Amino acid sequence: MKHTLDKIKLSLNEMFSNSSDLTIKDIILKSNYKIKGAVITIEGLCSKDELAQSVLNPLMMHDFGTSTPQAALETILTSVSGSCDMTRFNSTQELIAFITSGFAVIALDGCDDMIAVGVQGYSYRSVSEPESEVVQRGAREGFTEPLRVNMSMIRRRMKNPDLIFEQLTVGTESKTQIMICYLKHCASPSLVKKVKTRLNECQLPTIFASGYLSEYLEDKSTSRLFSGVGISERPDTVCGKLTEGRIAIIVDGTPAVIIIPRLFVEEFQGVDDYSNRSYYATLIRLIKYLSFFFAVFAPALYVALAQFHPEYIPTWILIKTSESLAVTPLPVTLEVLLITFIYEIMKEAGLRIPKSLGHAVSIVGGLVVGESAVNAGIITASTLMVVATAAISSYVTSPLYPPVTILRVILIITAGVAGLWGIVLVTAVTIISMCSKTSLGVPYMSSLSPFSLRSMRDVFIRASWKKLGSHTIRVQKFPETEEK
Amino acid sequence: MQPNIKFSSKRLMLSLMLCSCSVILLQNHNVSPKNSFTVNLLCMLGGLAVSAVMFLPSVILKKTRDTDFLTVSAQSTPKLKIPLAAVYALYFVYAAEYFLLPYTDLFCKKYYPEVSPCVIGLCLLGACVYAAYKGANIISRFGLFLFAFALLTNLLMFGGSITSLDFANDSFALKADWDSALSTVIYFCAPSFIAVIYACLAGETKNFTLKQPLFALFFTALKYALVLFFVSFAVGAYAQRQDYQSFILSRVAHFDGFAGIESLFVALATMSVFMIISLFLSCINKSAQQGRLKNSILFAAIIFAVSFIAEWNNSVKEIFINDYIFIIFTAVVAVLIPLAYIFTGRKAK
Repeated sequence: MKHTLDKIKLSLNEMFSNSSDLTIKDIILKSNYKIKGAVITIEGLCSKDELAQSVLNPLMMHDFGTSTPQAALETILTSVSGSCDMTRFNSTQELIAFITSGFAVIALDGCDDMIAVGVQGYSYRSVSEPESEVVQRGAREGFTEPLRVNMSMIRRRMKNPDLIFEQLTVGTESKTQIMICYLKHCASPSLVKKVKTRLNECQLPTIFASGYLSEYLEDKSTSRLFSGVGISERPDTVCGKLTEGRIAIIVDGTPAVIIIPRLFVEEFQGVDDYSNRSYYATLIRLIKYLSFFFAVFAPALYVALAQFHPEYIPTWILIKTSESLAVTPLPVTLEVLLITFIYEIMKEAGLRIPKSLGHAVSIVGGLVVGESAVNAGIITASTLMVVATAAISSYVTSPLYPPVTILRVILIITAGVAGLWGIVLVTAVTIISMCSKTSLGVPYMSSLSPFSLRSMRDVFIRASWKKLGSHTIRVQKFPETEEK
Repeated sequence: MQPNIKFSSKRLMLSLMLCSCSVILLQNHNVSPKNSFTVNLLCMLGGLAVSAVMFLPSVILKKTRDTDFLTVSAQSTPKLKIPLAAVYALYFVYAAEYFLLPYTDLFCKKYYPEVSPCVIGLCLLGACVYAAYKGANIISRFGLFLFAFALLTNLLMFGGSITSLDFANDSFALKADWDSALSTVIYFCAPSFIAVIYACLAGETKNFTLKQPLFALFFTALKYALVLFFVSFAVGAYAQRQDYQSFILSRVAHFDGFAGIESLFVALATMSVFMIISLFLSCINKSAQQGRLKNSILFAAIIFAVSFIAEWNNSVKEIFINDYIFIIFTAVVAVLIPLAYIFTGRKAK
């Protein structure tokens, strides 16, 4: 395909419909033949200083003498521009990909090839501590939006040639760049292949967040209540997972990095566990498991006991509870459901209103809705306390918040209809569903069921580093994993 | 689901052990006061010895050919596939009734009288269809959680009864009434049904050792012995006048102000029956070798229809909860048919 400069400019203007951010700077090189050229960029994606220093100034200053356009292009590539990020190409698709990624493209009249120079310089949020994964001891660094910055944060921690980044483009409209990241000697090649196949199957028009890809990465015909895809905003967490044979997927434009496979027991492991003393980390972990059970079962058990089996409640509590339950207008099941829904509404409102109004919502929620409703006899204090404690407990393992909330509501309704027996049956079905789930062929409930004694040193307890460090368990080595 | 993965034989055996332990949870057989505790214990050991014998054919097949009886029969006599599948399906439907009927009866009589047994049965069977659809591997994974729960419940049940122990002078003497002793032996043969499940599912497991069935039967015996011991000495004469004696044991167990262990007992019984019927449906799926979901729904519907009839017609119910019929039927499908195949196979060689 023979490009002339005018043709390129015309086709670009047509494709971008004369978009105002498409910038084509015409230049004439200092040479005997007055070679015409153009530097093509997208406004706002390039650093103007970098563009001037690495592209425009050297091009204007250099004397190309008697060079033909082809020879001039060679000279630019080898001895004119000081940039280390230069690529030679010759197709229109590549031209579009480069300029929309913040490259400056140099095109010369009468020359087939073009040169892309990396001068990216858009503004982005600086590296800061991720709000969702705050730690007491450990790095205060979290991922940010640009892909390259996130890659560098991982590379800085893993100075290892086995760390592989493989680029893919997803999103038929957005053409979002994603990076598959793994340690060559740790990750199973079949797992990497599976991830690539599933990502290639994604035909979404736009990918603006990691969550868009999560569903495509889940194993087919397994339960969707719990997620087999993990998310982290911390480079240290991602690096730790990579050494266990997991695969990370960095999506351009989002700080949330996907980690796959994800197991149930991982939801109870935190970065701080590995910084604290092992006995304290073990205590915290047990508290996390208890909180999970409390968050799921407490309101349902309260409903079942109050409605069907009051004889199991100690007498001194029963007297107080039954007195207050007798004067409230709603049955206990509806009361618990109502408070649960009000809490969810307040949570959603709290997340979305401006911070300056946050205190007002707290006052309205805590004092007006809560205390006034109890004083007015609409709800009982004991119900409020149980639901509130369950809600707080669900944040101890925050990645499990969505399934915990759904399960809690299902269990409350079941407890209201069938009492403790209903809770038992729903629990049995849920356990079956969780046991049947897999994440990239690895059983989701691995370590617990299928049981792995060796992995138990980092499940309910956190063994000392001497024991943990002696043998790293690769995720593909878990029992009953498909295609080891 | 992971249909093509062989799972640990240990885990299947653990699940079978939990199933066999559930027999005594649903106990509506009165351990006779005419027999001393020692005699009852010997009867129990006799019953479990019979169960061990029933395990032999499937264990031989597993050890020698690393497969299960259903696979062997499908390979050696393809023409008999359908009649054989029908016999096994009939057995599993019968066995499901043998557990479902006492369970709904226990639930409605002792725990929550206001509810209809048919509703309980229907909900339970619905859950079992889902589990059977997921397969025996997944049900055995569920078994590990059930094991943890069973440990906790038993600990509370026995721990809470220790303070009530009262030993009579002649408790350990060999005082026996032979008629009731025989019926006790037959009653304790009931765990032999796990040999039939094993005969169907053994091919899906790996790493089998002879120790596994022995340990399963040993721990079943231990559980039974503990229940017999506490029923005899912690509940005593109060239990003798009532059915579902182990339920009574859980009701009287208490820790100071904390009571209500019968709820945990009912939860354990529910989960055990859930696992047993799910395994039965899985075995039917294996013998029929057809679509799991459709097959499970069909046989769950049959089980429900039969239990519905049994709830209304007492003579039908009597047939389904008859220990003698159950043991004879179990002996036929666990021992006679597999042995016939083993010997025919040897002659053919």
